[in-house]
Amino acid sequence: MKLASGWSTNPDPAKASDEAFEMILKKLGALPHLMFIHSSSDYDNEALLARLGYLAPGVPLQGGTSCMGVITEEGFHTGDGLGLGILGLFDPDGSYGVGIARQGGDPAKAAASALSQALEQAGRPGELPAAIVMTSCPGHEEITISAIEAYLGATVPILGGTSADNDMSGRWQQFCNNSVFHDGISIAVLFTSGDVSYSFHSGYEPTHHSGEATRVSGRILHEINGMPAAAVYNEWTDGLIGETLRHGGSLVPATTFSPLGHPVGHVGGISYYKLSYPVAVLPDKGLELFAEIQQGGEVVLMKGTPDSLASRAGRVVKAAIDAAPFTHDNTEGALVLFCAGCMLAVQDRMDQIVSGLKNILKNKTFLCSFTLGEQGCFIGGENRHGNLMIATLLFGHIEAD
Amino acid sequence: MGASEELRETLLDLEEARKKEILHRKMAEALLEGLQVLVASKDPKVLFTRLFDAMKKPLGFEAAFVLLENDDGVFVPLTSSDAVFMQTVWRPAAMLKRVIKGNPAAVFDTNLVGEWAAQPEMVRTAARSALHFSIHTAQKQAVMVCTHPDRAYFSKDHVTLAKRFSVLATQALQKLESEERLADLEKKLEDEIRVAELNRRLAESEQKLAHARKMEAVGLLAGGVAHDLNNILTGIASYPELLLMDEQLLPEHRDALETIRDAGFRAAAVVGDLLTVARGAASPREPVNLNSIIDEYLFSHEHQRSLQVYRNAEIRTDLAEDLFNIEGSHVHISKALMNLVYNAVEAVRHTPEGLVQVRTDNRYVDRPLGGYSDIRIGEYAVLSVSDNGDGISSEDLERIFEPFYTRKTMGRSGTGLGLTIVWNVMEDHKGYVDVRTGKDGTEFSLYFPAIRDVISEGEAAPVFKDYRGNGETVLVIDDLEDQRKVASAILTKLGYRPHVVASGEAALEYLKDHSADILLLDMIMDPGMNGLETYGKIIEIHPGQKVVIASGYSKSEDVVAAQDLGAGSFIMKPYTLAKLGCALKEELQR
Repeated sequence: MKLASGWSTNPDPAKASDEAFEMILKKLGALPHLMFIHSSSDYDNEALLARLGYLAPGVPLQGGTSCMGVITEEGFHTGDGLGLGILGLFDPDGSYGVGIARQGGDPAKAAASALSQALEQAGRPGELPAAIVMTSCPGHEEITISAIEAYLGATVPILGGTSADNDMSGRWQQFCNNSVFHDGISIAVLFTSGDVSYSFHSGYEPTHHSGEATRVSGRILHEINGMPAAAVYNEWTDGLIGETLRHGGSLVPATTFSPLGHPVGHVGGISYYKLSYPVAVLPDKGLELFAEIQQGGEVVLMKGTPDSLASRAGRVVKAAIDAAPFTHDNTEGALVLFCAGCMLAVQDRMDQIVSGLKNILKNKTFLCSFTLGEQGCFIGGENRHGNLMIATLLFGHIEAD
Repeated sequence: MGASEELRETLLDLEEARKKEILHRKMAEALLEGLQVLVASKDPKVLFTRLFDAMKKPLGFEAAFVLLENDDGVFVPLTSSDAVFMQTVWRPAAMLKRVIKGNPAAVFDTNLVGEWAAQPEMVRTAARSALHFSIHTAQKQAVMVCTHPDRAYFSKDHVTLAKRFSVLATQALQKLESEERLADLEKKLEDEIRVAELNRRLAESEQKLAHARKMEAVGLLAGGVAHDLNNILTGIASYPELLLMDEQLLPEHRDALETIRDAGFRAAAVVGDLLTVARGAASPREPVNLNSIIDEYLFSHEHQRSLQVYRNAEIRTDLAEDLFNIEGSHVHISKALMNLVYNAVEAVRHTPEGLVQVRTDNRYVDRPLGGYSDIRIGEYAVLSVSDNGDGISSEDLERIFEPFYTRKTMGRSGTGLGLTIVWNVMEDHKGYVDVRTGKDGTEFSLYFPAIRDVISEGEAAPVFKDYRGNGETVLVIDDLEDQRKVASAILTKLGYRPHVVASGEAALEYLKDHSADILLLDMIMDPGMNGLETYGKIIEIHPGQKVVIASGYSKSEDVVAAQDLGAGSFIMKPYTLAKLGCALKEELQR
């Protein structure tokens, strides 16, 4: 198994494809067996994928749009909001396949369909893959995860990113081979010849403010402790959203450093949290979130800082390396999904994020994409969807005994 | 990042490490248990049955079976924990082919996989999910299949455990197989060694047979020659002895006669060598001690004479005081010793500070000696003669015991029979010769079977008056005129009254009308009756007739047969006064 990254900020999608793919080909010396494509929503991504399909015929392509650009081991790549990043996997002893489906009114069925296509293309229908990589439109990530687990069982690690645009205007897209969807779920199944490791964390810590989610509908948190959720949140944050509370509207990016957390597990007496990003105040003073919180569950105000977010990506990758069944030397590279909201909040510290990743992934290949929601596998083994998270999937090989 | 968040993360990391350690430990224990089963069981069915038990807990399967590849490349169950799988047949498609290559596969829905879809529905119902991994040896390909009735039961951790187990189990089985192959090879090697040993013994036997035939031919030749020579030598050695009894003899004549007599005796000794070589030659055996023989030889006139020839050699002895006695022929062992010492002395003739050592010791032998595939286990009295000469080359070593093979002047007689005599003496004594040689010298060790008999005190040498006759009549029966004349002269000198006849028939004719106090009967006469036949006829006429048997040949079966009929002593030609006198006296007094 060998990984290579390619990138381009050329505004012409075909040229961008050519430039990025040429890097891949040069590094691998052969066509890869799978390519993850992450590009800005401002690209003509149909043209981009068509070109890549032409350059790498028969190679499964999977991915989606990334906010502003991408990071590779060569830096942060963006130019006027345009950036293309490709992570190519060369693994002749592995099997890879991709699938895509429109979510429509049945996101679970769409997930199963995409998964089935992917397994079929990999030539492994019925077999348990080493990992799943998914890209979806915002809104039904939890259902998607449940559907995948219902299909495969709950033991396959999922790495996912909710496709993003540059301005939350809804131009996010999902890629699969030469298909570009706006409301789809794209899935890649990975049967690697080596092994994978993963990590899923936030850069936030809990505060002493917490309560019970007493009324919830989907991703709408109406009440905390029986009171309007936005009012409670405003009180906990010392009036952070006071103006919006009065008039309603978007909370992005004001709440980036103060998301709500929901404890999803306890390890050694320590809770770990799935984050939900409050994105809007609703007329009933409820909060619209970017991830579900269970009614009756505990809601905790989380706290982050620019420093913690900037250093977070490297630390998450390090956690994956530490947990990996292979050594650092046998690590081939990583796919990292970084919350776009966090990225936008610490945009002036991109150099720090890049150097943090490079310090951990010394001389290794990686691609980091910026997403509007992250799906990953928590320390307890649970696949979850969360906001303001960083998820990584690490690839490596195990030396023969 | 705040300190509290860092603390939280550290605790989470620790917890994760702990969980992984527990998981790895459980996996390691499961692997160990599985491997112990593998190496402890030889019967495949028993092995896998135990393996199912050992792996059930870590893998959590409901049922398991093992598929074994047959000659057609089709896999069939070897054993199963659930009978539903025993009738299945598996033709490897993509999934099983990967498994066989060493990549375990977890199937979350058997209905979706080609190999499973080909199975009967009841099989798929019993196994909605399955875990497959290979366990193979260099010779055999096998796949272990764990099943569960629930869909998507097996996890990535199960696959990881299966992969590790597959690798270790394969190594364990290959090790077992290697050990079995090694054992087979060792057995084959042992068989080959056994066959080689048999071939070696066969070759050795053939060599011995050829040697024996050669020796037999030599013996026949030697026997025939010796008979004639001894008869001739009787005249040469005996007449001077008669003449030397004349006290009036002139000194110059006495010297000449003594020279003739000694030459005759030396010639007789050569004939004696030939007779020693001759197979089947009986020699008298009595309890003797090798130390006595050595002492006697080293003080002998012959030995002193040889030392005068080779003045360079120093002779040392180291004789065991408590040396076992042996049952042997004093004369023959002395001859063997003489030849060995003579060869040793000659071997050091150009060696500064040449040293010849004669040793004796007692040894218990329980393993083969050089050159012998079998030996009789027991106590031996060993006579060793060693020198510090240049040693014997390996080419010469193989042939030194062959008659007439000589690389130098070997043996006192110089006939090339010296070491042949040694060999034959040891064969006759049912002993062994061990030769060790190198650039620092050579050692011959003669192994004589030891006895616990005590040797009687030796008798004093007889004097003339003790064996002189007293006018008794002696009928000499010999086909050779010279022999008759010599015998007649000696008998007369001894005080007997001889009468001679030239054949057995003539003797019978004579004894019809006459009697004789004693007969001196030659055993080999030609033409006509030989000595045995003659004696048989004579005792029909004169039962109890006393007789002394004489022959130029060694004591033969005919001699023994005649003695069984009542004949007395046997003496070998040439006659001497003492030898003949003692024999007649002994027989007359019997």
